[in-house]
Amino acid sequence: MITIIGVGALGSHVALALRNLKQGLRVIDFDNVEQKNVLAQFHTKMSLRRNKAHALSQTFQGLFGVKVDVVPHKLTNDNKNEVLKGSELLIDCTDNITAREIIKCWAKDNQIPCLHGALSADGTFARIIWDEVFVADAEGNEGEATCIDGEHLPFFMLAASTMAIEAERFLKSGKKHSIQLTPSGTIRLI
Amino acid sequence: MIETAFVFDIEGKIIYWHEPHGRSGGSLPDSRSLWLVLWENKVRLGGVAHSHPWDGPADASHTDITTFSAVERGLGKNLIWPVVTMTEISYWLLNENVGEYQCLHPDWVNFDKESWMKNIKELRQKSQGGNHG
Amino acid sequence: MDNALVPVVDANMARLTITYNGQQGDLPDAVPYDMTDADLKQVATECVHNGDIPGIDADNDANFVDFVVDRFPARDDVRFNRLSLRPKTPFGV
Repeated sequence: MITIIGVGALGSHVALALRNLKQGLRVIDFDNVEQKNVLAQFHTKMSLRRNKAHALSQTFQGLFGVKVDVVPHKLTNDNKNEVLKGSELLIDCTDNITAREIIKCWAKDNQIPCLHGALSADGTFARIIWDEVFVADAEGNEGEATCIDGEHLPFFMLAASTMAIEAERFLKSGKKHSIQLTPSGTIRLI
Repeated sequence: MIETAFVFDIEGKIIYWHEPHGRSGGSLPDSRSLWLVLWENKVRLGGVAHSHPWDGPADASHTDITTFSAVERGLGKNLIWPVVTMTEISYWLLNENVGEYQCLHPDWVNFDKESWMKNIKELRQKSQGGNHG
Repeated sequence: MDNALVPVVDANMARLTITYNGQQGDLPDAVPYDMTDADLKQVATECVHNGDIPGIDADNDANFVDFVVDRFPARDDVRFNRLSLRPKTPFGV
């Protein structure tokens, strides 16, 4: 099972790109779809006010006939073992340092590979970093919405596709590439 | 933080606190004891409220919804299923027209508001305990 | 319950009690105590569909998805094995 934590601007598109993985997907998010999300996240108007994980699962089922495991819970230290168990790869698409630290620690304790993704709200860069070299930054306010007006959607989708490619590369070959992207190019960090 | 639940009657009064051994921050285990409470009180049973012990929206998980469905098939009656986070409450009910559990608008829940919110407050307080078992 | 009136069931067999739709009843025939949950649910489904459980009305749409089986071995005061098919009650992840 490949577990994507956070299905907002980054995670919803990563899930879209990885929907055909034979390992199966689990998506975790406790938040609801709001009007502003529809512009930049792979959520539809029909999903408004629904939990994002449930909404994505329904969309995948309806559009592609793909079943996705859903956890509509907030990841906490008290539930991380249950929420993350069974994962063979974690894909961190959260937007706050608390969640990132929980994911990083759980991945380390359980020796599960983990790929972290982060987008800047102004669409100037994205980082896709494997756990061994990842350091959680406190980026802005916890839970701050990114890409509220949809302006940077093309770049966010590029970042999500790149993240999906790196996840696939790892699953196929075991190789880990950490990447920094800007709208003008890609830099392989490690 | 730890999941906790209470069983309430048709007036919203607590019949039973459900704090089983083996509960955690992410789940309440299957319990014959809980089932027996529901069965024995089925005539005046209103529902079961359980906590999701974090801040934010309250959504029912797949495990929650399949429990709602199984319990109602066992009892032969529909119940209200409040899901309570530290900041929000959602009330789940079977929409028989579409065969799905959906959120009820809170205004439709007709309990005495003061005593109901006291129950919710107590549920939240009990959910702030540590992991058990 | 007066155990003197109840025939002692074979030590490998059990009485199955089914709870469904607000009603409860026992399968008239004993079942193997080690019958799997899936098989017990299949038997229960067919019997409730056919109206074969005294105390439970026939229901063609009955299904026991997400029901669980509690198993109680015989003891001094209840001299037969018991199985109880009832709804599951977990919450959470």
